[in-house]
Amino acid sequence: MSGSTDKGNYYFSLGYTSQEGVTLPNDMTRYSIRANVDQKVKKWLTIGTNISISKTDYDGLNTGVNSLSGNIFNAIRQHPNVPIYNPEHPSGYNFDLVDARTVGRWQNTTLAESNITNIVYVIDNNVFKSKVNRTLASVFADVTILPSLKYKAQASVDQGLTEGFLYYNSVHGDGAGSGGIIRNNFQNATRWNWQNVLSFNETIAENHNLALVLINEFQSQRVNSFFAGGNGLSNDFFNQNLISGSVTTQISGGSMADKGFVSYASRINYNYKEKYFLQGSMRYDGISDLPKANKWGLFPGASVGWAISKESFMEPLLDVVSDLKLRASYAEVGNVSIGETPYLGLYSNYKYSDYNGIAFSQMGNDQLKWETSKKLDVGFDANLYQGKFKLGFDYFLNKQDGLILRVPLIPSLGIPGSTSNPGGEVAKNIGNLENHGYEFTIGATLVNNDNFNWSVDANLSLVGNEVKKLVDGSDIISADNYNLLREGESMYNLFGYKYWGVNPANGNPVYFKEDGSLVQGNIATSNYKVFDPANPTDITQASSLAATDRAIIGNVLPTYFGAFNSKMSYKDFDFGFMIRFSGGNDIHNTTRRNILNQGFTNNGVEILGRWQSVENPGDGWTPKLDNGKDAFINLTAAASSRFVEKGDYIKLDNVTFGYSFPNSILEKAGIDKLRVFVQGQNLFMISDYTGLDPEMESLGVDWNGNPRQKVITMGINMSL
Amino acid sequence: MKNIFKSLKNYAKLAFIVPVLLTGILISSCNEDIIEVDPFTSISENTAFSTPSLIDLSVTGMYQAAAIGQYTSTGRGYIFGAAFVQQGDNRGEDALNLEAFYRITYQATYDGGTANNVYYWVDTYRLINRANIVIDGVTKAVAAGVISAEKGNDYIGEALYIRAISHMELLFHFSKPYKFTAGATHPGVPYRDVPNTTLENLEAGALLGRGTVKEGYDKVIADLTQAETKLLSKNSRTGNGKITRATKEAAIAMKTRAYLHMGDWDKVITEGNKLNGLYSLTSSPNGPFINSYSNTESIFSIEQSATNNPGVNAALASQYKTRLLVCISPIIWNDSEWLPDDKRRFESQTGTTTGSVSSDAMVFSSGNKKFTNKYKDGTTYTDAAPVIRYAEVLLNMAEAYARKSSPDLASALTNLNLVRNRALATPATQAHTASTLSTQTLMVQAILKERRIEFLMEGRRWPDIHRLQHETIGGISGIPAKAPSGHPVATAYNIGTPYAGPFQAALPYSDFRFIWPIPILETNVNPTLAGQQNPGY
Repeated sequence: MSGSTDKGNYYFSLGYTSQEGVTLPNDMTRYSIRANVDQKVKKWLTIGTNISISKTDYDGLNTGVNSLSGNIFNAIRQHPNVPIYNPEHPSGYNFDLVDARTVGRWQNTTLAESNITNIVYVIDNNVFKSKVNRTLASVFADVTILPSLKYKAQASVDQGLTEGFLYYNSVHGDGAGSGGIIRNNFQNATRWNWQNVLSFNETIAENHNLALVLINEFQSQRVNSFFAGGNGLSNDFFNQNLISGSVTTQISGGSMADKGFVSYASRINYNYKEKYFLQGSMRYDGISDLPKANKWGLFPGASVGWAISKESFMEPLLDVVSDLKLRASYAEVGNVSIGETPYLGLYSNYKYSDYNGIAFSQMGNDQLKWETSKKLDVGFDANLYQGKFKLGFDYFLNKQDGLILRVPLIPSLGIPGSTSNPGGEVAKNIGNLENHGYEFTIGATLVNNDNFNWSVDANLSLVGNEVKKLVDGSDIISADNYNLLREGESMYNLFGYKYWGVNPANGNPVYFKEDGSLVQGNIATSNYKVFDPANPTDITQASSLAATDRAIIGNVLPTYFGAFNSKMSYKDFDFGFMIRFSGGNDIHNTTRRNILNQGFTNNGVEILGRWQSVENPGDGWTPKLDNGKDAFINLTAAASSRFVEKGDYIKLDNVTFGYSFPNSILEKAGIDKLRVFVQGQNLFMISDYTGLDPEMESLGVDWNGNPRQKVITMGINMSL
Repeated sequence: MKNIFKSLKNYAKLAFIVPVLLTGILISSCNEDIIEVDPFTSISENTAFSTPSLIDLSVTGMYQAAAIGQYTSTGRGYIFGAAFVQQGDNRGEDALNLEAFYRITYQATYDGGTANNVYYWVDTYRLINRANIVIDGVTKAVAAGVISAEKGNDYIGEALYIRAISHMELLFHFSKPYKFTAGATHPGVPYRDVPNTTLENLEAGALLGRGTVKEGYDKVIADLTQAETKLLSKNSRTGNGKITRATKEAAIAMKTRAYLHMGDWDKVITEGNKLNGLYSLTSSPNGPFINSYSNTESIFSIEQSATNNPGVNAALASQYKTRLLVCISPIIWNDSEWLPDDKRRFESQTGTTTGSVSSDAMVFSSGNKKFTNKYKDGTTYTDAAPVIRYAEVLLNMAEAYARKSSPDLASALTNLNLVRNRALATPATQAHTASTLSTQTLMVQAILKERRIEFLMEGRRWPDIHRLQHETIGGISGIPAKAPSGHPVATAYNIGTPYAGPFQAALPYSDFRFIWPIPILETNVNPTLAGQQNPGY
């Protein structure tokens, strides 16, 4: 609902969204309210306020990629011949009769590997939910000092209150070992922002348009949280919230952190007859997350534009080239998202049993500096035949200088680490990276008449990237051993062993060594032997597969991507769709490796192609089976080109079909516009990628991720 | 300018603008405060050793790295909180690995990226660095007069002790045994004795190579000897601290272990004798486990509590009891020298669940398999991890008496029987005697068998396999054959009938996998050690 009076504007809206996920339970419900009001108090003064409040309830589950009750990890391991329910068991679920911690073995003679649980019981009983209340509120005052000089002050607050709850049932699943687990947590993230903006707009001597802006901004943020809970529930009855006296072991904790940001910025815009454009800007930013001497950074920017089509010499061509603008820009921007005080050497709390203690927790680096992104962009936009065709082109070059990364340190030095760098880490400006590419856009109105409209547009980006310089020139390998940063190469390349295939004589996996020679992993003895394709039965010569034999086995970033859009309308019906495509990247399909595990759990169909005998050598790619030897056969501690696949795809991303009621009907009802529609998202994909979705990767690795879902939406748009 | 004032038709406008601008300026003037932020959750390194209370916290915090470690995100008891037991057992033949947990260790399919050996290395060195930080910080605090020299010595002694036993643990797994070369000149592990807290230190630290095994053990002994002089006696500690904090006695006990690995028999005896009268075996072999924080036998154990322990994925009672991941192997269970009525076979349970096992039991049955009940609290995991107890000192001494250049079989027998007789149903008839163990060979073999039984599921098997590779009496070649990973057949357990197979083949001593690789995590970033990787990896 929106409207305006002669002295002000108002806008109110209410929202309700409910989504169910592709895996259960995984749903979201959101209620939202927005209100924007402004009022012209005086001719020269407008004050106003914007408020938006939303409440979102999430109902989730354990998605741990390597967790026994992680939904995908567990589900892909369940045997197909084992039922979910067993009316014979008191619980009604299929628990093993000998070992009730595990899903029932049913007709199998042995238990499923790793004591995997009955995931349906876990999903039905365990609770993983959170409520987020978010309030965004601001007040502002616009002061017109002179017709051309305006001052705006705005204060705003953004507060997110998150209430989380977790309950693990005591009977079966993650909570069984502890006799039930319960946790309540609460987090308050509040950010204050104050902005002063002084702007000057003037057209001088008719043709000189000048705009000057001065901005001063302060931002202060505090995040504090606490949690309480316990292990060992007296009874699963007490499972709606932490209840005093219902747990054996009480657990609590909390945390708090502040962040600050200050900026002084100025911008000048000038154009002559809207033909020649000039812009310059300068920012001076300070952040709390850098050491005292390096807190402040100066970031300039400039751009120029030339509307060629407005030149007199282009006039004869105006029927063809309706609009043509050349532009170039350069800007430097500092990255403010570098984590909390990564430069400080810190000691944190570490309890030994129940005794309080502290210990070294973060390696300091008082030399840490701003990470700056320097972006150059050159391009043009053109409108041909009165907008019937549109063309756009851009070339961009983005240099990241002094990239801040938590670099892995030498583990035997004993520096504190993190999940991503368990061997120790320090935040460092590690070097320079470069992204570059071309972007093309093209659009056309193919049909445009009273009853039928059809327009299409398409865009394509061709991108590349390179690690230009690293401190000391030395490689940085991620701690999970998947990704590599190396000078002169693409960023985060997949790094691992090059796979040759299967030794047809014995089913052993064969890899390339650094020198190009071949080595086979002798499954029977779990060690490496020289492989000679001319004499495949020979397993007498010892060899090795060493860290130095690793090579770049894939590029994780797409080299091209784009989309094609089509919009059609016929009378009151409209139909549109979007196709997205992307490719040139490689994905390490770790999920695939996971479902080729060598324990007694379900496998992917790929295992059917395994080597079984000299006569039945399988697909030549999948080695023979050997109970329990995943680590060796599938090389689970490293990346291997055996599991690297192309990430190319074409997706039908979005299809919409709508009907708008004709005005003749609506007028009587006092409605401005009424449209009903059906929309489908993620409907269809063409890809050779064997995993669920090539977009499930993160830095080129797809590991038990939850897939994107097909969404069908039906809706009504109405304006009054 | 005139225009401007003309347009200011109303002073009210000024009255509004001025306060707003002033407020803005006011906030501007305190901008330095907004971006001068100190953490609330952590203490700056500059003040971490500035008061007696903070110093005390730092020393306690050092033990956390021994008890929990970091692993990938939540600690899994690397190394002294649980992992030394689990890895030490699963590398040997007396434990039987049933599930994927520890299978890589059990089957020796590890490589430089395998989590178990990676975190053995990573978390141990993190513990070592905490010890070095304590030594450095306390030394400076004593010099500055923040704490007394006496107090400082005790703290430094604790850190030296931790540093020594950590390096020794690494030598067991990442280096060949002491006697592999004459003079132990083969590669050891980098012995870190400098605190790494600044970027400058890191550069020097990166140059430190592996040194030799001799250098490693010499430093272990030097640190333990220094710790012995600096540390307070257990009698000066209170409560659990007599066992769960380093003491003068613990340093001495650890020296008997180090000298045993070095084959310096006389020194084992000298050190062991220092503990005469200070400890005594509990009357029951279950004593150190029923009261793991208060008994006369435990010399050093790592404490765990219900709120701080290695958790469901690592705590000893979780892995060995509640989750039934590793059981006692029929290889040792069936051994006829482990008498059928030995108290260490005692079972007492009212049902089939692990919760129904009585704490008096030392063993329990589940699904035809035998499990240890040394770690009793399968719900909140509060059992101590037994690092060294007096029974080991006695058996270390017994073996030294038996092996020394002029064997003293009588003393060996006395020490052996001290440990063994308390577990026998009728010591009068079942005890070893000078006539049943009449030769040096028989004596050593009996002692070694007794170690397998007495320390079963306490992680001591691997260090013994490691050091016995070069002994002629009671020697072992490679990693012995084991029962295959997975659930054994129901008939596998038969006291007195030797386990007949199937077997997972023995791993020859010459196989490179006898010792662990230096982790890829290390060699990726440390060119010095990348060039000193164990051969074969």
